[in-house]
Amino acid sequence: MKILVAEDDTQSAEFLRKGLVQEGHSVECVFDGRDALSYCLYNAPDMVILDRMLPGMDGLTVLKTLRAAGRKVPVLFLTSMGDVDDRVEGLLAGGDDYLVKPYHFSELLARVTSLARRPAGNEQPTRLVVHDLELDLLSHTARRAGTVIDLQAKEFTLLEVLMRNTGRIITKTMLLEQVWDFNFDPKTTVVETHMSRLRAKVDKPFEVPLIHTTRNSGYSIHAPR
Amino acid sequence: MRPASLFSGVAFRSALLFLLVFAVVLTVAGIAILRTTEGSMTDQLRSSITEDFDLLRDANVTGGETELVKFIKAAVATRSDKQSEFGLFKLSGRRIAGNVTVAPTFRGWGLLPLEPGQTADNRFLGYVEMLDDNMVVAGRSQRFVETESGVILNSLILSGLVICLAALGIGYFLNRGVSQKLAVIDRTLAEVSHGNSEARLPVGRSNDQIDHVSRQINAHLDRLSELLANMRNTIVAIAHDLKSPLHRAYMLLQEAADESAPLAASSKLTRATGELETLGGVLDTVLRISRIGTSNDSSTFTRFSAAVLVQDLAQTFEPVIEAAGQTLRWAAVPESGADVFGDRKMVQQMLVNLIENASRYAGAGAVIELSIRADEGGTIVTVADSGPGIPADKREEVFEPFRRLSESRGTPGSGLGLALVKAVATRHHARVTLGDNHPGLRVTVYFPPLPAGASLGAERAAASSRPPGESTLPQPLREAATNFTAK
Repeated sequence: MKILVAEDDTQSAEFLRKGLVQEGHSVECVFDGRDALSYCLYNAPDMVILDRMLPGMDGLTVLKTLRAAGRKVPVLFLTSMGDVDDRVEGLLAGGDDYLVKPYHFSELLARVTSLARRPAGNEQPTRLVVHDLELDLLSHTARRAGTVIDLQAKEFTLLEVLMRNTGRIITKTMLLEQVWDFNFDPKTTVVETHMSRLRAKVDKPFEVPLIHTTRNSGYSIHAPR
Repeated sequence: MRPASLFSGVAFRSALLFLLVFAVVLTVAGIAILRTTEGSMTDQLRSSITEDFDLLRDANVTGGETELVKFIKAAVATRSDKQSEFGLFKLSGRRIAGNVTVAPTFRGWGLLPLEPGQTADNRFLGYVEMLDDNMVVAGRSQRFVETESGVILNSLILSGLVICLAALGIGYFLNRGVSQKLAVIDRTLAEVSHGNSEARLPVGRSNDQIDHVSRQINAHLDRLSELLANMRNTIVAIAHDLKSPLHRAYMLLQEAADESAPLAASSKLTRATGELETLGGVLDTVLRISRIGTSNDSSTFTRFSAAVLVQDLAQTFEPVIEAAGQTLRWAAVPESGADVFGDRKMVQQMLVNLIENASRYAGAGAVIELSIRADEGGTIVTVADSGPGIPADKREEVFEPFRRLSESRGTPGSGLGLALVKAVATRHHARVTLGDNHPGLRVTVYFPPLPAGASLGAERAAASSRPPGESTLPQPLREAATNFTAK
């Protein structure tokens, strides 16, 4: 995948470039907002990682201009301003995701992967399946190997988010945002506790575990390989 | 006291102004009195002269010129006080009798011409009339009018001077009192500005305006030194809370650099990253509190159901609290009402902080209660626990940033939780109170009633009209997902 990194801090940009190249992406770095805009207009990257504060033209303006020009390239915003207002502003301007500095590279990677593989097409699935686990979004029921699993509301949403992203790592922060609508990190083990309850219901009674933990990164659900 | 400060004193200037007004009034009144007195004395003089002249006329009628000469001579001889003058002249100007030597040139009333050797301050008012062929003159000295006027003028000037001196003296003493008080205020404020935050203004017993102002200034100084003390505390706490993780990360990084085994190095690096994350988190919260506290932007405010939010949080935290060996109880959600106009995410974080605080400080086995109710006064959310609580005299200070009660300094947490709660509450015009739960702490948040015309948030409308099977993801994410798939 061809990724444009627009980041004025050369060290951070280099760190990002190395990491993404290691993951098999081709990466171009620009340090100025105007360069970022012209690169996007003439080279059509598959994804843009855009810093909010850029010399020449700020990230928000770059994004708005891109969207006004009809470019639908997925944009991941990077910022040191982690306030809710900034987040909302970035998403309203047409950003697809938002990440606050400092971040774990694994967090960024998970979000890049999630953005890149969003399903095309308009239809909302009513049924999600992973191996022998089935989630019926119409009747709000979960079944594994034909057995109905009784899930609490939050556990159901948690499983839904994991299954919508089958095979991809979903970080703790992404889960907090998508399941609980939290834009902050609670001091307590909200994600871990709910995840362990979910696993006790979905994995423990069965032979093969489907939910996996990737150390220092997050969680994923996938069929046994 | 410096002279400049004396003359610049308000009391002194008032005294001067008073003096000026007084002088003008006294002058006008003095002139009026003088004029009136002079007028009445002159009238008296004229009537005396008229009486004298009537006698002269009678003499003329009785015996003509001979009788006139006789009368005049007798009059001049008997009136030895030299206050009266008489004269009889021929039309040619020749004197026939009397002590007037220079014939006047006028008829009727006038000042008689000066005699040789006579001074101007002793002029005579005279009446001149032709009786047959003779010019007859009768006059009286004006000296007593002038003497009397002089006496009146002198007493006026003297009394004026006395009053002026008294006014100046009173002004001076009044001003000295005020100036001394102001000088003390000046000195004390200078002392405060040089760092002695304990200095206070003296308050006298007279309870005048200066005492009143002094009391006000003292109250402000109290508040200021309290703020200063808080700020110092905060700075020390910030330094402690920021430097501790920074220092730990620093140590871990140094150790990792010296480590030869890659696995051990990696574990230390991970821990260092964790410390830096903590640091970042504290900074984010400080920035957020400051932003919430200073921003007036309410574009993110909507009407939302606080009851739904509380229920959501109860479902989220019940397993977490149970895992900590505690119990969460929450009252049934009311059917309607309990709506709040505000920023849902801010309120959400505020309630999360309150729930997490309760769980963190209440201890094992504690019961945490979450409840919500609404009345005409607004929506009231309560988070109560059965832990040790907070002593009544410490309840206000826990809202200060980085303030942790000494007994809980060792426990985790940045001490920013309640500061953020306070900031969010203030932003929503809500009131937060800490009370006794017998035992434990009872935190109550009083949200004000909805403003007129607050629109129903998109969230509830969407929730009520959500078709079965549609995603249960939070609204913004659902929108984002829909937007994306539409591309």
